[in-house]
Amino acid sequence: MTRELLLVEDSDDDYEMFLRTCNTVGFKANVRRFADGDEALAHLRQLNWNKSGDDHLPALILLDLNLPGMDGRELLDVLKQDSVLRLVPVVVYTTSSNESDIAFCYEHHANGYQLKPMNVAQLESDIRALIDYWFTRVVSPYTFPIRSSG
Amino acid sequence: MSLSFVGHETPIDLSNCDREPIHIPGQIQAHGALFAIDRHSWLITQVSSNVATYFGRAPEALLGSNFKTLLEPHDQAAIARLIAQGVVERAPIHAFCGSIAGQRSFDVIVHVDGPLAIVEAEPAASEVEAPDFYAFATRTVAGLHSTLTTVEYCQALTAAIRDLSGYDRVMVYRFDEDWSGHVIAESIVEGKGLDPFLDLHYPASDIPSQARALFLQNTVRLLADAQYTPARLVPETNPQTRRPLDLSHAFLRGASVMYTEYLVNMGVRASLTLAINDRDRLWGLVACHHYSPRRVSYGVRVVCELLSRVASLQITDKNHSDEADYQDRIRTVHAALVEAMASGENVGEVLARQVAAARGFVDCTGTAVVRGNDVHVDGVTPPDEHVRRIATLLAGSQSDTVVATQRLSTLYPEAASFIDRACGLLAVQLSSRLDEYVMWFRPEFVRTVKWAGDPNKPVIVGPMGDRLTPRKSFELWAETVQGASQPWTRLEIESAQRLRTSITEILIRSNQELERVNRQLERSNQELDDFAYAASHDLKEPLRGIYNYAEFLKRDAMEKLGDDDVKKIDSILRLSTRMQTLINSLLEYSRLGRTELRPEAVPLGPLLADAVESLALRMQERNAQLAVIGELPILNGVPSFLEQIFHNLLTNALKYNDKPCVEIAVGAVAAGESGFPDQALGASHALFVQDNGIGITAKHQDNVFKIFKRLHGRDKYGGGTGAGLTIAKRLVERMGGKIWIDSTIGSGTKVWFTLADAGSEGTMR
Repeated sequence: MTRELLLVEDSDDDYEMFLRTCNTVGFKANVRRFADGDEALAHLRQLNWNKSGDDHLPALILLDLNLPGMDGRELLDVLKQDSVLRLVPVVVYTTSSNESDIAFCYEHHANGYQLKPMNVAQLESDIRALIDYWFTRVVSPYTFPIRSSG
Repeated sequence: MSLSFVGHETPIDLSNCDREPIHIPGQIQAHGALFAIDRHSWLITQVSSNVATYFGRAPEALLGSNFKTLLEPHDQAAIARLIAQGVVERAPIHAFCGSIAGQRSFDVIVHVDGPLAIVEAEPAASEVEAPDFYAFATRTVAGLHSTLTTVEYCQALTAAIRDLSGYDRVMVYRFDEDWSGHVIAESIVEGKGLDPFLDLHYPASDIPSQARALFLQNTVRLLADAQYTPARLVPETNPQTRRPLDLSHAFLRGASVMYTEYLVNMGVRASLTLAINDRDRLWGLVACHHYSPRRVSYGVRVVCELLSRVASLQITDKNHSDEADYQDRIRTVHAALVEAMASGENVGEVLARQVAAARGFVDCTGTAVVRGNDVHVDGVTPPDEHVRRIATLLAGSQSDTVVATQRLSTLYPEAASFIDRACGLLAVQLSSRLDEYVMWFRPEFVRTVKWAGDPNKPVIVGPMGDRLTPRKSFELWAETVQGASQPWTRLEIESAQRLRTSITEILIRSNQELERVNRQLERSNQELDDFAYAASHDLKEPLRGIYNYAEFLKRDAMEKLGDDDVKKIDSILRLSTRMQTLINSLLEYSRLGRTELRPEAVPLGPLLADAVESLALRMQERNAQLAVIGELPILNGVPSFLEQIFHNLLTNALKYNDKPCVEIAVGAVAAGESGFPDQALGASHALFVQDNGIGITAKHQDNVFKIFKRLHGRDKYGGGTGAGLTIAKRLVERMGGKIWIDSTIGSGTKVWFTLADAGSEGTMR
């Protein structure tokens, strides 16, 4: 079973655009979406606690920066300090092209920084590349420590 | 002119001056006799050598005997009483008029100095003249009181004293600041053909400092005959004090040879001199001259002394009240100026408006308030351009914050051309950093000083070697004092200093206020930038949705839609794109205020090359030629800012051009080089980007810097948000520079900019 893609995104429109594009590019994996940081974190902690196998954690977190409650920057920081959760790849997915945001995210160990495009064709090619890389090319690093600890 | 002793207060040998011991001459004048006695035992310890002339006994016969034995019992008692009361301590008093050693009749004057009582005996005046001195004094004082000016007062005083004393010539001599002096009032006997001395000036050395000091102690000085035979004191040294007798307070004190020679050179035979004191300072003298030997009785001297003391009080009181009035006026103007300055925003600005009021601060003919190039004047002042240059000169010369001169031309030689209007200057610097001054001007004051003899040769080395002898020539020697204004008085200079202190206090207060406002402004600018950033960011999200959904719609429903519908969707897409461009510009603009500055030395040549390279394609499309004029300098700035400035300016040069061949010139003009624009004043270089484009009308040359202000149709000249120049302006200003446009419609535009002023630091914002 293909592991989940966890999308932390407060905008319903962006979520729908994302799903629609996934569909267009033929990505069939489970997309679980949270509209705020707190909910996403609670879910991830729960998964880790009730670990039920190697593939209980998502293969990728796509993280918007501006979120109600705990925002994307904070969530990124918390995740990357957690001894287990930090191994889940996080790609920041945002409208902000602000240099200080980009610098902040990489300083806090984001695995990628993806701008939301204003152009459907661009959107499709971005998502295709993202899925291709994180779901087929990369061997997720977290599989190793989880096996050894379990 | 004989006033006192001629001393050695000359450049020839100043040390002689201190050595002239005029208070212990060792001799007295011959018109009286002197006894020094022990104040307790009354034993005679010293006598004048002429005692035999008056009392028929040789000095040796008197020395060691008891002075009481020479007196009548009631006269003994009179002296004993004065000594016991202590009233004669260094203050001679008339004890009695009677006989000594059986000889009559003598005026006997006593004073005590240390262990000694000094008794002076002068033959009493003849019984014939017994004027009512009290009535005379009362009448005279009342008459003096009714005069208006100091000179009138002194004129009346000389007449009264001559009337009373009978001297041939009576003068009032007034000291100037430098202790030279001149005759301000004079009364001369008629019929003797005497030349007036009125208005004649005498150098300071004519009345040396130790003589002036004695006049403060002993205000009356009589010389009965300049050719007298001195009566020596016997013995020379007082056996009790083992010192020469101090005659500071003795009326009979012998005169210095220098003084008697001085009088003889003038043809004067006898003199009486009275001091006029202003508190503890010698203000002037009443000098009485006679052309034959003359002695006035003790009684006459006392009334003369009384008159000179009354004069001391009344003249100086009048001077002080004149000064107090002036001081009141200065204070009033000071208070008004301070009040105005404290309530205004800028001290210089307020003073400039108040220049007429400022003129009333001190006596002057004109006032100027200078603030850099800005000159405000009231009254008679030099032309603005000179005033400006004087301010620059003063600011550059590290001079005091208050400058006072009677001769402006010594500071500023060009002032020689307008001394008739402004010759003296009093200037107060408004701020230590700037060439901001308030100035008061006085015109030249030409006067002729008539010296009694050449003041440069008051004393000559005499035939006796290094012994100085007084000058022989009193021939009129006129000196015209030119190129100087009336002097600035101590009161005026001190008041100017007080004004400066008040201004400093106000400046400190307003600087703090300015700093607070700046901080507030900075904060609100930051808040505005933050707001613009957040707002534009938030606008992007829904806009992206609008655009992407419109695209989805167009794609998914293509078959169902008519051409018209597709056109409408395309409009949505086009408008969304346009809005995104605007938002991006706004975002970029607001980001400029948020970026931290790290200025460094930037070689502009390579930097321009980078900017040009990024535009290579567009330049090729527009068939553009770029010329770099001269060599571009290395300037202090932020490289990314500078690159973007060039990028934006070059983009505009390419864009707003209808010529088949775009010509662009980039260059730098260094300060001082020809073609350096006025607007760039203060900067080391003025940079420019020039094109042969469509130009901008003068009316719009400021508008182009406003954000989103486009001067042309949206799609004309390649579109654009109109933020390029706004951004360039903000970048230039954040680096402390200026940007402006020089353009002719139809033939091209030259955009100028500067970076932070040369030598100034911390101007980056």
